Amino acid sequence: MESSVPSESPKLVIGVLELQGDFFEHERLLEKCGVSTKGIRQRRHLLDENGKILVDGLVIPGGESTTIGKLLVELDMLDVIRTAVAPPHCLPVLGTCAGCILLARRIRTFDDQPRIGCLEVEVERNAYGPQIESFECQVQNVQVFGEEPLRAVLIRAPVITRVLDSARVQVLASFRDTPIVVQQDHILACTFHPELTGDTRIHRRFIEIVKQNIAVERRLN
Amino acid sequence: MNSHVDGASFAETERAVNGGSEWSHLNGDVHASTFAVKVGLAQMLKGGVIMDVVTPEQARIAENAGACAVMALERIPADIRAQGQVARMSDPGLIKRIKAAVSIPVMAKARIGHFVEAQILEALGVDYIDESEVLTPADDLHHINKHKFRVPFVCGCRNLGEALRRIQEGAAFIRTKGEAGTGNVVEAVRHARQVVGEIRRLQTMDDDELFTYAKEIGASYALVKRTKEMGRLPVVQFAAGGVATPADAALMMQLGMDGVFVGSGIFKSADPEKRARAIVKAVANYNDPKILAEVSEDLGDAMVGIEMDKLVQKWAADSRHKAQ
Repeated sequence: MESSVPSESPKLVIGVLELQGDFFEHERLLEKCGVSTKGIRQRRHLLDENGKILVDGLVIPGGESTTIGKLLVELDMLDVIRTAVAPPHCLPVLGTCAGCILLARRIRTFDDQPRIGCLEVEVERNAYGPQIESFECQVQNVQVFGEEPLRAVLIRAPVITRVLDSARVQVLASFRDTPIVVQQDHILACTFHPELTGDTRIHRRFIEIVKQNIAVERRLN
Repeated sequence: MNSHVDGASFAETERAVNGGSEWSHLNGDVHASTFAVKVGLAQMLKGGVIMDVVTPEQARIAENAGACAVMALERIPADIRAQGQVARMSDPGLIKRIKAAVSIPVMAKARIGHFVEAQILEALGVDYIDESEVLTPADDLHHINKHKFRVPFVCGCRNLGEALRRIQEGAAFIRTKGEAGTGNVVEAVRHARQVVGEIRRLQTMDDDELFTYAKEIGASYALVKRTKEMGRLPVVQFAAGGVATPADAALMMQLGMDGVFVGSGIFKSADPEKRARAIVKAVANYNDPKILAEVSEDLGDAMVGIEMDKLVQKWAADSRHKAQ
């Protein structure tokens, strides 16, 4: 799904992890925001042979966190992403639902699940119950997202049960007193699926984070 | 085939199905069971493999191998075929034990038209119901009115008309019928090519021709129009019925399916865990023959396949169910 980059101004390239889940929906929304996307299914899509990171940011989509985590291990990509997201490289990353679980430092009950683990929160997987308990709601933060509430679609969604480092993790929106959108420096995560609505505000915020963290070159050794 | 789709497209199909959101339930501060929530779970399963399991132990093997969901069954299709008895919904006790064994979504099958089996499965808290031709149909003329349920449904199809009729009845997810329990992928390929081919032809039609076309294929005009606009089925579509190898799974993906159900193919093979893992990896990299070659190596025997002309009963082309 790579789209062409106009020669006059080099576009940002956002990598979207395409191992499983609704990565296509993220790509459409990012393209709507005017950035290029690059599907990441293998290590070589993320790194060139010299260890240079080929994208300016990375999205981990909704899907099944166990499936995506296992594939990250089997395809030898987990360490690379973990290193790229950590300082000094600080590759910006957005995780939605399963993506949020894969970013979380701790997972209740399933703490041995393979993941990136860079976001200082604890999550509980599938915390609202089976699919019949999945729902839509509206969340608001006028200062961050404007007057119009965000439409949040929660599907077998996790709950952020604890913020482990409140100095670093900023809660951008909450639902029933638990955080639903959080940001920690260059890491943005939400427990719902902005990619399932036409609303680009979460993705636009992520693109702003990418712009603030643009690096001439990120090279892993 | 996804050229006109964005994230909201599947949910917007609701307007073509029932003209609004009259079926969604407002419950306190949340809207439960909206069409977006029902089709949304299918969207989360895309690019994944859903595996048939008959014990909690098999469910754990499937989860460990990277399945994105499991289908809890009493007997896998190959054994249903071998035994030739009436096949019904599984024992609720078994479904509960499988649910307790894994953290991924659990699906279960109800007989076509058997809305009470569906009510029971919903009460058990399964994540998706498969109204399935693999079980013996309970109603030879009608399918379940799936709008009445909070739990979402997946249904089989062999062609575009059948797929759109199921969506009209409330299915939030479609799969090919294929021929389950055969280990022979030919029917799944036929049904996938049929649907994708019909959509391709639909896209070349003049808008004036859609009214007659809708009548010909027995589907609603609104859904035919919606399908033309999207250039694909207006809900997620998986392959099912006869997938036995990583190559079979990748074939279905390259034919434009969004993911794969594997039934008998895994636990009727020599090394289920290895095969399950290989199929998951094959679906994630279905366009890379090098990876497909790697994962196909040393898998042991696949399930024994059955030639179509040796089949006693074809479930997909089933005379047991008159209203397809």
